[in-house]
Amino acid sequence: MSVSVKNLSCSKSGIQIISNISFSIKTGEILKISGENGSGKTTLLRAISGLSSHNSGEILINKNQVFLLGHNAGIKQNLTVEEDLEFWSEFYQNKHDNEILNRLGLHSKKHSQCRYLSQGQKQKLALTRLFCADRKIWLLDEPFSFLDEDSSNFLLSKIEDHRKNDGITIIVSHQNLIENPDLSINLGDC
Amino acid sequence: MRIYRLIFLRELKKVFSYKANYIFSLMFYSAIIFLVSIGLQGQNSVLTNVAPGLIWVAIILVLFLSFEDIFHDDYYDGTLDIYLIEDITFYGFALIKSISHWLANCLPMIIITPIIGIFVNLDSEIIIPMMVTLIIGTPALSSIGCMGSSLILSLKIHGLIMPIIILPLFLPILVFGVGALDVLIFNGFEELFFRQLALLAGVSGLSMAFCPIASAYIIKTNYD
Repeated sequence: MSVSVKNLSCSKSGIQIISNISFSIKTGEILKISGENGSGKTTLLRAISGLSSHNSGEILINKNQVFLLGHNAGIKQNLTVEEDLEFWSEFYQNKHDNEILNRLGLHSKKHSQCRYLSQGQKQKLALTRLFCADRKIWLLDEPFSFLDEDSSNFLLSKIEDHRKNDGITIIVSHQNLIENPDLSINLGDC
Repeated sequence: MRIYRLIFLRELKKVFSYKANYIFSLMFYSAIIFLVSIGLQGQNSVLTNVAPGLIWVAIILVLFLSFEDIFHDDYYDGTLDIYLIEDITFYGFALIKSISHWLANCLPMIIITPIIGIFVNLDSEIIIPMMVTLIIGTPALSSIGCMGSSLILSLKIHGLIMPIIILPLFLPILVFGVGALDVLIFNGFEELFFRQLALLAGVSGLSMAFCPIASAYIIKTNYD
């Protein structure tokens, strides 16, 4: 399995955001995308996932294996954490791991409505969906945002596990937490 | 089907957990009817004649308050993104939204209509036909409302765009819904009533069949 992007160009409202980007990553590899605000990192991830269209170029990806963790994670404010977890567990037909909930400190919040969660807790809830989905291609848009140090380290270890299990990770991050990506792209340089 | 059932149950949980929403809708519905009945105090015969139209218009006005939010949360909280990636058809999702909107917003109003009818001197013989027209006609209002909601999905400032676009689409439902009851009140013709009811059912059925297709198409264009 691989993700291959050839000469990709994207625009938004008539403004060219990404022009002529090409890369290819294989199983067990991590691609880190960086760049200043507005350089098109999120646009690139959305184009790869198939959420937004592109002007020209080609994206080769197995869509059935894609998981996108975007800025918004589909969390319903007036449902409880438990209801949210149960929904996604049944959706992906994969039981959520209580150990992960404990590790992320969400276990005690199970009966709280999502509206009462902090941004960090919402991000952790989104991460439980990622671990539940069991997909090979992770597209992560600023996954460390709002996370405390302990949870960031936990996510890093999960990304490393994913790499060892022949998964592909494409990660957009401002933080330099991913120390040894197999490929790095700085959209500011493109 | 398993996933659509799951999404439907989640939608029901979501809409019924916003208790304030449908309680305020019921209060607003009662308030409109109550205010008109006070405004026409002492003119019971006038109230009896206009009651069906008044109830239909009040329901349409109340529903307009809920249309804006039908897809709004799903678009801005990323739910639609996830469903698109997971190949959930927007047609199925729009259909689920219409049904859950009807259950949460229209059904409670239909249920309290016999009580509301007392304020507008609704003839006791008209109550059941009134309920029948509402049960047949209001699903179309929810479907059209869903379509309207999808039209303003990515607009940050939309004001009255949606009501202006979808209000004309409500006219056939209002005309046949009220018309069916009028022939019963003024002429007592049961046969004409059933003809009007059949027309209402036809328009309602068409709306329920085609509006989710239009909604799905409009939502999809927001991603292109």
